[in-house]
Amino acid sequence: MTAYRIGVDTGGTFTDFVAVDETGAHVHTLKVPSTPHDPAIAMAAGLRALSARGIDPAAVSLFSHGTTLAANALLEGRGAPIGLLVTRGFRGIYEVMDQTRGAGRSVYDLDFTKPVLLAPGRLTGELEERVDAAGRVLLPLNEEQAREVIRRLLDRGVAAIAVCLLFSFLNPRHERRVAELIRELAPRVHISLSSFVLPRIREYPRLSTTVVNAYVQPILSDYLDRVASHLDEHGVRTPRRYVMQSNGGVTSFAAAGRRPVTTVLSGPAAGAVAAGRIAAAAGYPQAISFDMGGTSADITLITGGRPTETFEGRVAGRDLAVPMLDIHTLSAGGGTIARVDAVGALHVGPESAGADPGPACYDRGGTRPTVTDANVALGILPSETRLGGMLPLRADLARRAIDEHVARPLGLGIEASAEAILRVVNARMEAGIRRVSVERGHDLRDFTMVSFGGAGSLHAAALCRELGIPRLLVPAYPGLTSAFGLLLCDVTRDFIRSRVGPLGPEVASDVAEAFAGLDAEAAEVMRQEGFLSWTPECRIDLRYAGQGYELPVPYTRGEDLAGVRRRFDALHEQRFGHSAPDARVEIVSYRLIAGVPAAMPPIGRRPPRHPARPHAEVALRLPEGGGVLSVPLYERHALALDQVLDGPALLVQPDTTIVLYPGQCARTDAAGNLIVDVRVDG
Amino acid sequence: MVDPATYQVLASGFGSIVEEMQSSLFRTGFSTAIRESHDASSALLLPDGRLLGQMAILPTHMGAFPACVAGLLRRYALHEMRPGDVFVMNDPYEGGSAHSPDVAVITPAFHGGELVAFAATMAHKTDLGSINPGGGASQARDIFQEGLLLPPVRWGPEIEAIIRRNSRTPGVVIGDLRGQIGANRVGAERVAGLVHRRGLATVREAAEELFDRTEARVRRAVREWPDGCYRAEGFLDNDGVGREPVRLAMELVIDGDRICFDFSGSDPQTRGPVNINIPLVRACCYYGLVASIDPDLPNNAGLHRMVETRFAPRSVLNPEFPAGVNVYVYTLSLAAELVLAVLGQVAPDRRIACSGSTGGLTLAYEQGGNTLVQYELLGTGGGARRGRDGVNGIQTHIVNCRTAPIEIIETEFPVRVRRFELRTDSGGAGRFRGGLGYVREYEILAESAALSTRGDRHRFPAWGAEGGESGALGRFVVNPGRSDERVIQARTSGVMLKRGDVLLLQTPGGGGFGSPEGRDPEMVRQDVADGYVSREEAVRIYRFTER
Repeated sequence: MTAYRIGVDTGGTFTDFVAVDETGAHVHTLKVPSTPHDPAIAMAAGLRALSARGIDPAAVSLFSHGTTLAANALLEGRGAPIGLLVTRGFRGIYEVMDQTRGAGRSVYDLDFTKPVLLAPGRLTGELEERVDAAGRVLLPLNEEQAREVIRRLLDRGVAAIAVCLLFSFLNPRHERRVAELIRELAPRVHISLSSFVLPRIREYPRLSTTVVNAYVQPILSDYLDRVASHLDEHGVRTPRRYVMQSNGGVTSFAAAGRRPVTTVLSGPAAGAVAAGRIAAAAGYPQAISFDMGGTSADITLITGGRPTETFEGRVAGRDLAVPMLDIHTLSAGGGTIARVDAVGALHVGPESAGADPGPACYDRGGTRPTVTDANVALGILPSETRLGGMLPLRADLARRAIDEHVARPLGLGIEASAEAILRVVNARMEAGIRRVSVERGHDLRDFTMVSFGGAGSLHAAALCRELGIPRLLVPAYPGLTSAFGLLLCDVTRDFIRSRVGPLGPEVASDVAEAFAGLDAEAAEVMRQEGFLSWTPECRIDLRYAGQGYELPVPYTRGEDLAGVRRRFDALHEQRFGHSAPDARVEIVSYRLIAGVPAAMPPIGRRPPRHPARPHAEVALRLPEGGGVLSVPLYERHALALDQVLDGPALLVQPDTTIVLYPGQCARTDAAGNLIVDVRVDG
Repeated sequence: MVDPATYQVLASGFGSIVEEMQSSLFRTGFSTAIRESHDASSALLLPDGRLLGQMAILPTHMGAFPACVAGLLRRYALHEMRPGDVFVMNDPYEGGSAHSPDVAVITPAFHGGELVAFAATMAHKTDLGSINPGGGASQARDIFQEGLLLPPVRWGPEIEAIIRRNSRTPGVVIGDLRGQIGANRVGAERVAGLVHRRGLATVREAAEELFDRTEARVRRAVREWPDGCYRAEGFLDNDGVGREPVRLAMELVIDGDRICFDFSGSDPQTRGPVNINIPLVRACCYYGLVASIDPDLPNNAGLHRMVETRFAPRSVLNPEFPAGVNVYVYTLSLAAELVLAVLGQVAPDRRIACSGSTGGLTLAYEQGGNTLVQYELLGTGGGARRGRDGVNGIQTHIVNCRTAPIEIIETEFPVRVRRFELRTDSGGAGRFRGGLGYVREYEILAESAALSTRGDRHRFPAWGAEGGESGALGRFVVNPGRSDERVIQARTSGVMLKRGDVLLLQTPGGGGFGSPEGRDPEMVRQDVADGYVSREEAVRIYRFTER
């Protein structure tokens, strides 16, 4: 019996299923319409369909799931009614937030408001207790008073309670005791402790993250319970059941249920992980992951085959401080709308026509011009291609929308307007790519762009040319890269210990001791979750003494700390344009990331042996490409191994269309990746 | 004319460079002023000092940067500047700094040997040697008491040595300055890259077009407003030295597509340090126009050249050297409120009640031969708007800095925070309630601490609009409820506190909008449930009844 790994990526419109055998040789893919009111229904339908194709549920060796449930609950305000417990006298931490109006437009907006409190004043309780900056108890927890406050919240029908007490990251005793009291009074209410969710200094980001955790917890943990019972009923027996997290790793259902906030930004993470693995396997460990779909473009810097990480983010106005992949999301997709403003400036985005009504060329009632319409009007998306194998594209409708909303207001022709739309949206994406790369001190000449998502490869070649990226890689299945990514993600767990102190040769033993402590903690947790072995990766968060923010610096056990110091200076110089090798450096925290490798090669597709010939010739105009070109059209999957193709050319496949510019040349490698030589100087 | 696509590409390019400088500044700052409070700005300017783009965080600094470059160009000619040069300045009369703690760093950007732009940052410094530790010279009699003055000078080891020797916190100040120099270097490199990719002529043309379009947008809005003369006036509690209130008065004249803000009816310059220089007052006018016309309007030279201003000589908004300017923020905030008040007469849909007053706190501790400076910026209650309550606990209009985290403060300074909560009943009553101020309470753990405070509206409350009531006054108290209780002024300095002393800060609330009789009873009920309005006040003002 063949063992299969199954990845299920739930999106807004479709739920993508991929099943791959352990060797990577047999691949099944499936699209099921999503069921947003209860995503588990689409899940069950897909599992049945996979069985019908001969994939035995009992032989499933791993199940990995990407879900935007927690993110959507937050965006749409559909989370649970929650209560909040804080140290007495400190309700202001949540209500004041950071006391600013953010940056940009909102600073000048007289109608500015803060996001609605997820736990308003009437659902906030204050506890008599206090811990000081050294972690000592100044005022012991008054348990009688705590019970009373908890009862009051329970009477108001809260489904979850967030607890964030001052300095609990140093001393979690009071928070843990409060959890016990809640459990005694209401065993079924969900509890989020800030000392568990985010044991880090700075009360507001910790509180905000904990509140969001509580808000999405009932929904996500109920949902995961239902998915688990569907899997059981269906006969799936593997205990390796995982959920995608924002940091690019997967975790067990149980762990995700306890810390659902770690899944809030997981949407584009699997795609970025896949891009990194595919590029590294092809020999290009330095890459830019470029995932462009219908409503947004997600851009991620990849170094050494791995996406970069960050520790701060904001969703729907909520501040989150959990480890997440540093994905730069722009409102720039195929459905993004172009418009001319009152002073005659052309804007593309942030508005999107979405999937419904979609671009004008879909003929589903959309009348405003989108990026897809511009591609259709120029012939870059030939009207005979059918997006996703389903939709015919109406070039006449695309042209009409551009004429009315862009060409006439600007006094330009339709083609010139369509080119302008593409140049403007490309410029926004270029700025986004520079932001994660050049602006962090990286030279794009050392990078390969990995483009995927339905619209990525229409724009990738132009972006590479403009940015000086010498190489473009298009994976074999650009439309399913994220779903495949779920099978490539390692299981990861982050362990952190904050202990501020100097960095110098005299602390070598402290460093060793700190990591030994983290090793023990990791061993306990990982064994509990059924893992016998894992790779511990170490990082030390460092800063110049007096700075308030840290840079994580990789650390190898037993290495000379002077080397760590030099690496920190170099990183600081690269990232911020200056360093201070003469200044004192402080250790802020130690981090251990326990990883269990996915042990799965990236999924490709073996190319055929016989070279393909063009299917047809099509006429198109490329932005800044100098007039109409007649270019050959190829079926992408018909290209043979190492068959060299000179641009200009158009390559079509069911899930995307790829554009090659004049002077660019492409070949297909053994994994079925298309590798384009961009010839920046040519 | 630059084609629409290239124009848009460059406009967003300028914006993202400034954003990058800004984030580099915040991440590498040493002082809590920069790294926690975000009291810092970045900008790009053309060689003639016209503003190309500024990171829209602190509108205050908008007028400051062009004045800094103008000051720089009075001392150095463009052809004397070389790649690698960095200039620093903080002189409010020779540059554009609002007060001397705001040190500007300006770095010329070169492409092919030609100076193409300036990258600039401005950030608050913890101490440059004023009469009071931490630079909070709330009662300075002239600018010499406010600390070291640097006219525009070229950065180098000599200047660094002078600054080190004049600061009580040299390590932090120099660390922050290096962060500014690094952020500028990044900005200058990026501008050079943009010029390299697009060509200098195109970049210049795009800049001019950016200005022209902005100007056209403002002109159109002004033309749509009814011609006329609109007036507003307001009072500061005092100047920090005397007891008399300080009056600001303005007259807005709209005549076709011309707009003029005339401040010449304001009081003469003050003895205490509440004066402000013209570039800062103009920044208030820019802020008011952007907020009233379109928050997306870029803040650049195109807007700036539309604004005409008038001032009387030797007045509080146009002082003569060496008049003190240290506590300029509250004068500036009042000027911004007046600008919004007159624009609210012109465009009633943008009307907003007056906001409370933000505030500042500096506690300086001596510890083992070093001075530690705890610097915090306080939020207040925002004014209510048509259709919306005012924002609770917020930095308003021209200021926009973060609250300092309690866990950072207690870790780094010998102090304990005892309370941080919104102030019940501080929002002005109205159909839409004014925003609430907040309460912060501290206990000193060190043997002693030198306190200075900044703020306003401890005497004149934030006014309501369209029948809304005014917000609560602010109040600062040492040792409340104890036998040695004393109320301190909003602007005070050199107050010595000792171990065990308690400092209570209550910031003012914002004004209400519309008559309280019109308030939706459900909103009143929620306010009571959330603790924003007390039951007694709800009964008295809104005739609240329990259901």
